[in-house]
Amino acid sequence: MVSPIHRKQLQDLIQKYQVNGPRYTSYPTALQFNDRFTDQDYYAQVEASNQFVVPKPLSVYIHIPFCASLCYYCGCNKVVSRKKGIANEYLEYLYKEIELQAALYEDDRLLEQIHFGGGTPTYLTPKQLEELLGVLAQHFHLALPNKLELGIEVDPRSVNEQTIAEIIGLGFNRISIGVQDFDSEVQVAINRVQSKEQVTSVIDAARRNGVKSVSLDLIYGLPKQTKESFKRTIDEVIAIRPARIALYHYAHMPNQINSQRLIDESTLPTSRDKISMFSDTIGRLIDAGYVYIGMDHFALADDSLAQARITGGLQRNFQGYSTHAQCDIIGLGVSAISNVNESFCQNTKSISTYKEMLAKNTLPIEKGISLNEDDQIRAGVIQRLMCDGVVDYNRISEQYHIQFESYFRDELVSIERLAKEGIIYLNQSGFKVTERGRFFLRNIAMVFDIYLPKISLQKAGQTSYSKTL
Amino acid sequence: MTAPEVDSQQNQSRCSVCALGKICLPVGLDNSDMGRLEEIIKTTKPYQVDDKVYEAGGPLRNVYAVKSGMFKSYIIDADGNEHIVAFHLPGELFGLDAIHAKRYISTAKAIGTSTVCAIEYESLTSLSLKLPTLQRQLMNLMSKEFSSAQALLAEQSADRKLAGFLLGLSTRFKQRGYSETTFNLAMQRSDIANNLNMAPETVSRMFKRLKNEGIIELNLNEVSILDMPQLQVLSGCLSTC
Repeated sequence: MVSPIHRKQLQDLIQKYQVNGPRYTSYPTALQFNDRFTDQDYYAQVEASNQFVVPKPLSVYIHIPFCASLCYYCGCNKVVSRKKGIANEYLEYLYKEIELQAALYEDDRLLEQIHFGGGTPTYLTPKQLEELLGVLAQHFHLALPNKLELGIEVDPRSVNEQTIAEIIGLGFNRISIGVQDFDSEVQVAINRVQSKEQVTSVIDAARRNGVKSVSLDLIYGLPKQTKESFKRTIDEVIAIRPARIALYHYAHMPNQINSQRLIDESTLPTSRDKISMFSDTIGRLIDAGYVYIGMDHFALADDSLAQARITGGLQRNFQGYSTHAQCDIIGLGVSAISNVNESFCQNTKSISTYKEMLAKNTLPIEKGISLNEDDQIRAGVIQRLMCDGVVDYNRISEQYHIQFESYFRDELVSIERLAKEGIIYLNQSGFKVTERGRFFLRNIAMVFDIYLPKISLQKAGQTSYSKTL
Repeated sequence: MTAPEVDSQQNQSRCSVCALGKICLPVGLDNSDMGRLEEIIKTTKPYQVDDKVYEAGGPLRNVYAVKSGMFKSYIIDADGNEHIVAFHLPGELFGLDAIHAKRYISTAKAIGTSTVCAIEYESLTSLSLKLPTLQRQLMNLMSKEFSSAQALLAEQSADRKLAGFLLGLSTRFKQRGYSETTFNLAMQRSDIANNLNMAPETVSRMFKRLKNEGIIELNLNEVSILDMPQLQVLSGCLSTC
């Protein structure tokens, strides 16, 4: 845990290293995706992925972009509407996309993981979800139920005990719930009012129906939040004892996210307060038996995520962390990101373009990147850093047939500097993130990001990234 | 996997400095004889994936020795189906099937970026008449090709075929100075399936079985043989593969 004596030191360090930087849910980051990447490139990557002697299993992410109301803080790709008909129309095109995508993959590639995100996936009725799962099962080869991870993000305001029971009846075994904050003043300020009872009744219903893995999403740095109010929220979360917790930082970027202009800047907590909230929360969660997985994520020690952290089966991806380290990820729906073989690509964010392209039987890919050898090596280093907090020179050298120390000669100069700050332990064979260094994973990863200097020159004065803390 | 030292560009067709000299054509030749062989050898530009070296039916001009990378040879049957007859590793000769008909029987294609030494066939024939050592090695290499093609013809269970395939590669890699226990499979799953005459799904199932039984470790297409004796037992042929 973080002792009070060290907390002061830590706060100084956080102050010093608080820079704008990517969150490395991918490397290269989404800013490197470009429109030179076409469906032909995607086909080539899929074909290569089909041709391993044992091809990787598949994971599908499905983006449901609709929400019944607007949460001011949210930067996700979404459409706010109460017309239920729009979802049906969207689903028709989604089915087309599923059909086109599934046809590219060899029949023996098992679909082991399905995750619904949004927007609000529970904008869909249990009936619509059932139909959608049916279409997936028709076109993909689904793993057996006990091997299939089926997850959904739940907005507690969009469900009741009955609908939760129905959703779980469809086979969902992981749910994550957007709590953000239990404080009612904060909830008003972000336009997301949901009582604690609403949240707990959903969790209870899920647990009664056999879901072991409940995950809660929290956000610190929201308007009206204080150290005291956030502490109360954390107390309530600890009492609920979800298997996993995601603690996100609110990045106020009103120039890029229109709805954030509806947030009164004067009510935002100060940097110093946010740092306290963050470090207090970590200390309290760890005392309560949670393991810090990395970046924004915590899990109970017996949860598969915490186990995977020990066995090296952890993967950083767009949903945070996953235990499915060996999957090709297919993103379906508007703005969804795929990670197949050595590539990333993203669908168009526009629903109308999405429909137009699928009507012409083309995949709605807007941009992407095929990783070159250097990208692959750096992605490997950043993966290890984000997932195990350890970079072993020999392991990377063997894996990528390089000599780490000479390949990363310049980077190692910066690494030495971080070692002097106590952010990492450094020795002859590699380096390891220290306890306090865990707060600076992004800073360490940035050292290995070859695109970073170029971007900061190009976009000088512009803030494209959120603050690291 | 670390490759054997490849000689520098200016010496590209010089057998005397090629790391593959100990297994390729010039085995046993002394320096002056090797010089005569070098005179009829040309190194070509690198072939990229799926580039053809020659096509079935084309007139025999050269036989080829793989210098780096890997090639596959396949024939097309009456129904238009492709059958991969062999994968060629560095130091191995291909194109020899054309000697009888003076036309290539198969088509040879690169698997990934690869280079070859082209040896003018007529000159090779006349030179081998003057150099018995060269003739003997040529016969040796042809016989090797012949016997591995025969091994594929036997009716065998899928796991036996795959074990034999891996052992064969292991032996060939070892002869070339690579690791015999850890190597990367440059060929595609469908190519292996085609070569061994089984479905691609079966190839994967057999690989998974070998992995689950602790006989191999698999990291994408990198194979590590953990239990060589067991793999030999599975393959059913202890010494000849």
